[in-house]
Amino acid sequence: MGRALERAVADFKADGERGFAEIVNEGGLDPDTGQGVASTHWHQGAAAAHVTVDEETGVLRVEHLHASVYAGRVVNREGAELQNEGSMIMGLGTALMEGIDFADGQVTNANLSDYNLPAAADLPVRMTHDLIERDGAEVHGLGETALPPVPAAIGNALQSLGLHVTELPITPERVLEAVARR
Amino acid sequence: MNVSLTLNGRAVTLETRSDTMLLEALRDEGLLSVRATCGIGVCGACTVLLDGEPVSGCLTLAAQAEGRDVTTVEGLAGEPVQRAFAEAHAFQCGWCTPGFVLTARALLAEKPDPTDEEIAEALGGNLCRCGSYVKIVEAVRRCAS
Repeated sequence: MGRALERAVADFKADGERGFAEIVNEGGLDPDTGQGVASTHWHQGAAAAHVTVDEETGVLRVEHLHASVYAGRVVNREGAELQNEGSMIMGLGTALMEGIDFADGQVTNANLSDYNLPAAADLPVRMTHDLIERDGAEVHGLGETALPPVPAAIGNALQSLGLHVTELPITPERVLEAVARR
Repeated sequence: MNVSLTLNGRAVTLETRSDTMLLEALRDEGLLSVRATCGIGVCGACTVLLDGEPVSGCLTLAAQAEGRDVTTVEGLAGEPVQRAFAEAHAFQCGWCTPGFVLTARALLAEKPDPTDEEIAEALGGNLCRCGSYVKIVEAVRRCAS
């Protein structure tokens, strides 16, 4: 159990508005074999999104995407920022573009022609992020920490417009179906 | 067959075949910044400059370079665009970086002061799985006159 995690959990508990968390102390090493034990993830990230939707075409535009991650002590500032920005952009891809299709148990996305990744022009209109730091904290992994909350944030933003899309990626077709269901 | 061209400022003759792609021919010359990735002209990792224009090495036959000028990042000697990428920390794993640098160089040669939209549009043919676009665009912006 890292001190950084304990500190993060204390933060969560101290401020009810931020949410609730508890320590799930798994992982570590098996004392008999010395092998690593699988654990739940120990890093904390959150995201929020502001989206607008063209209900005629189903095209969704992310006006503003923000993510906050607990960063502990930042050693390489630009590297840490890149991890956060990259996580958000990869999450954007998961949310809106990247879908794996199967036929008879086989993946049918043969190449990048059938699997869209975000490019420079696909970024949100505005993108911001926080690295939440603590003096004396441990060095903390930031890889993909800001990624998982991004699709949920975009889906919840859609939900706030009365459009409930429950499958990823959130394609214009799925948005139009949600418009029709509303 | 032999293909004679100017490669990174030097006159060279490549011994190749008529069906060899420029990507493979350049990698055989030891120019490993030209990355073999999607093979279908989508990702931009094998971008080279052909007479100053960015092209996908995987879609260009080596023979098409006959008599022309080919530039890879090995042929750039610390140009402003390269320094800007380094100073802006515009990369993570670095796989896509040579392609981005060459595309950015071609953009800046054509449009010395591009808007953010023009930068994003010009870089549209280059993919970065690490998602370093924020700092890549920043690097190009720093080079704008």
